[in-house]
Amino acid sequence: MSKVSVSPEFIAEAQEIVDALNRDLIAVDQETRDGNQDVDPDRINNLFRSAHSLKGISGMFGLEAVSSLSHDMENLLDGMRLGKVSMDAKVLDVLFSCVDRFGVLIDEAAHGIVSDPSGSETLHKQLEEAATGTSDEEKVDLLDTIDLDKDILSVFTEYEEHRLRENIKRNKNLFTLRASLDLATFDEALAALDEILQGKAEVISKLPSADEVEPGNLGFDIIVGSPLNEDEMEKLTKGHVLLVVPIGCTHEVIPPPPDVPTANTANTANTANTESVAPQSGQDTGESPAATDGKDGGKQEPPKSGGGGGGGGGERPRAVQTVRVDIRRLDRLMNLVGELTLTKMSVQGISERLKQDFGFTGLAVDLHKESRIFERRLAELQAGIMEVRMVPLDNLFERMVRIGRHIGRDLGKVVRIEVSGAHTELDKLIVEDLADPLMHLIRNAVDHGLEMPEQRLAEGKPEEGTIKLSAMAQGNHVIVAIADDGNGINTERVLERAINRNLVSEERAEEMSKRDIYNLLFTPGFSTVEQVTEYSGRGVGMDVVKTNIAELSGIIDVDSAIGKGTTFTVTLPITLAIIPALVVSISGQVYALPLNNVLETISLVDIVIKTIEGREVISVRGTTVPLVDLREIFYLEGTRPEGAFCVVAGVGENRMALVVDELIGQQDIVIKSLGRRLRNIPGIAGATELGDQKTILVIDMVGLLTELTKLDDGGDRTKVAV
Amino acid sequence: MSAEQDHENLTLDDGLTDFFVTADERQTSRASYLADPAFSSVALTSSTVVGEGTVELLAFWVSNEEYAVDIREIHEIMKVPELTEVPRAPAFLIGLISLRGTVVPILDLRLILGLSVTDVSRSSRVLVLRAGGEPVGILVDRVTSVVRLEQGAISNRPKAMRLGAAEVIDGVGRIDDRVLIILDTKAVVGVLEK
Repeated sequence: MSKVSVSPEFIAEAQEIVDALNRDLIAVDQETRDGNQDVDPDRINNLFRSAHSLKGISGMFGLEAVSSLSHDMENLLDGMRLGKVSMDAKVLDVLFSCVDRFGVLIDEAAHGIVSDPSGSETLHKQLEEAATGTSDEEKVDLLDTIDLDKDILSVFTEYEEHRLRENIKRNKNLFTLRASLDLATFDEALAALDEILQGKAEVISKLPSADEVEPGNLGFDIIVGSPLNEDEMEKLTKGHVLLVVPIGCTHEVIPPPPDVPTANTANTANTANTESVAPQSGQDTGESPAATDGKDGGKQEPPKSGGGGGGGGGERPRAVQTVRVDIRRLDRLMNLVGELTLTKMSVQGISERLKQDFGFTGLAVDLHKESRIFERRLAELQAGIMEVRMVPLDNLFERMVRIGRHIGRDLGKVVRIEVSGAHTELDKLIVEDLADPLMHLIRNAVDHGLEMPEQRLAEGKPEEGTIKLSAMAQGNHVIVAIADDGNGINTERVLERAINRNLVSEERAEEMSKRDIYNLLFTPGFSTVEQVTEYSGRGVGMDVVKTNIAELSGIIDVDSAIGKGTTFTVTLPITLAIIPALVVSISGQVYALPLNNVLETISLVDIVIKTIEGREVISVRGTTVPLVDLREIFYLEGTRPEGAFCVVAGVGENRMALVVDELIGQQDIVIKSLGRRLRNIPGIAGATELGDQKTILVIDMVGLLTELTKLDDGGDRTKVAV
Repeated sequence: MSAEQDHENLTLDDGLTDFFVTADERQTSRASYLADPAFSSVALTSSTVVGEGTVELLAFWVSNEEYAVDIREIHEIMKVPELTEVPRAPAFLIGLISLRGTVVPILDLRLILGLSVTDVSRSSRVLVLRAGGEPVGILVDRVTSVVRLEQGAISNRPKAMRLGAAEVIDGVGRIDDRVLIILDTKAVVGVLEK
């Protein structure tokens, strides 16, 4: 054992991962106990990813005990992902023990104690055993129970064999469907068959048949596993296949497939069985029903250690004195505050009416006073919840520094990262979603911005490259900048690449300003899929960075000087939960325009509106800005009234002036999503409620601007305004 | 899930009633609201337990045809509130409402089913479907009653259906001389995702 100091940030991150592991294991435990052998593959993938992340970060901090254990765990889970290892009570037990061990090791690390891996010897052995053992003897057994030609089995891929075994294990009926298909159209016929079988049977393999079929036709043996019995299968596939040959109906009683509502069509043998199986308890966390599995029956139950997601280990000292709260809970609270605001307004309305109808005396005065107090407390509550959501950027910045150094080392560059303004606070959700784009920008700065040490020396620069990572608050915005002192952006090379990739025409390239050229970096298709490394493996291009930031209502800008370096500036709103908005009306419809992107509002009365190529433009401070009338884009009835206004909005260098009939006022709004099914209506960011219980739409300014910019780049207006 | 539990959600408590009744109807007391003939007493007394093989459906008129949906799919029934129009949306999406903080799209069933559209009348209602956690409302012309049907009384949907309507129809139920066209709520809601 040795004493070291490990950053509290690592501890928090590691604990989060361990909590996630614990959660997923408990879920798997629950699923397998319900008598269901079918573990959700996503869960295994989640577990695998968690183990992988834990390995990564613990390795970075030199916690070998954690990293080697998570490495072995990752191996086991990888085997499970590929179906080489099955999830049973014993394996689950080992995994739970590992998670417990991680908890201990991380707590120790938090107190500066670092154990070496030898303390986890037994667990390592168990993991290895689990990863290699089990399946072989089972394979022989299971495959012997079915009536399938050995020749056919021999051509199965490993995956097909695995699926076959899974189907046998789950007591599915197995069939060979013999089909004779016209040579010319057999692929369509197979696709049609797939569609019929969809949801009713799993196609394990499609093998061209050796047997003679009609001339000009191709024979296929399709091996499927299904809960249907022979008659049902024949009925289902009638007209598509010649023959249905059962090749294995290993058990008489077939348990109803889980979560299939049409279970009553499955087979009649079920009804006898269902009585002994308690109804599925849904997501109840209570005791799982006494499933008649018998498979895990005799074995010891896996310990449900750790309790529900991090609640366990109460006797151990907690490493971090914080409460981790799901941000959605805060969203719910924020929604409640929104509702309360509406109630407050109603109460104030009543108070006003009382004043008018009965005079400002007695109870009317009291009600008025109380409603004022209500208003103040409510504002405090809202501010309080906002505050809980706000986190400083320091964690994120530290992570970026670590990543930057690491990449520098990998690429043979000497990198110094200077951080400033790390105490600046932002909404937790924004900080989380900022991690990916920021990581990419840092990687980009180290990889493409900074030169190799020799080259730097030759240019008379210090060998060590500097990247300045800074943040500062500016009103309701936070500006994050990543500045390197490298080569700068070579505009000629950017243009060359853009022309090669047909992103711009040569004619257009000639009239492009420096800024236009820089913006090409963010064009989809400009960034190449770089070689897959630890940091670029996501295939993120700069266009994705821009989209990610735009989704946060942010703006990214780039500036560069040859030989001196490049600066990326990201401007973000402090929060997305509650934002100031301008409430306006257009053709009698009321809309909210988020102020984040609003630059100014101008009365159109004294403004000269010109047209360029049939489109209206106005001149704002020397720049020509397109005048956008939502009546046209949203197909609203009515015409522009006298004395209308326009709201000038901007994202980066792009500007638009939105015509509005009436400015109703400014108000803080809580944007509500239109839900999964409606999220794709262009130009609409969501909805919000005003005090009079009216629901209004929130305009997606960034989206509209992007849409218009695309139009300017040669798009066809009618196409976009669908 | 017991049928009883589901029924309870149909009972509109004071607060909700207040919230969903549009301004001009606000004077109507809760009692008279519940006495509205649009609600059958079966739906709101919540004590009956439904046996196996029986489904409870809420029946309603759309244009000149009688339809029904599984009552367990219904989140609430309300008078037609003020709708917020959504530009660039398909015609059948007639607007949005806010239901205790959740944005709920409202669909005009008549447009989905290809029926003739008449104005919203006093008897028009919005049925809010659960739709898997993100509720969706459908506008209907008149809610008639809650009916119980044996599974046997429900036949598959007839082959010759109007185009467009066919895909949102689950089957046809018969009770006495009434013919109820049973909607597949999943498919109805699914038109939004196309």
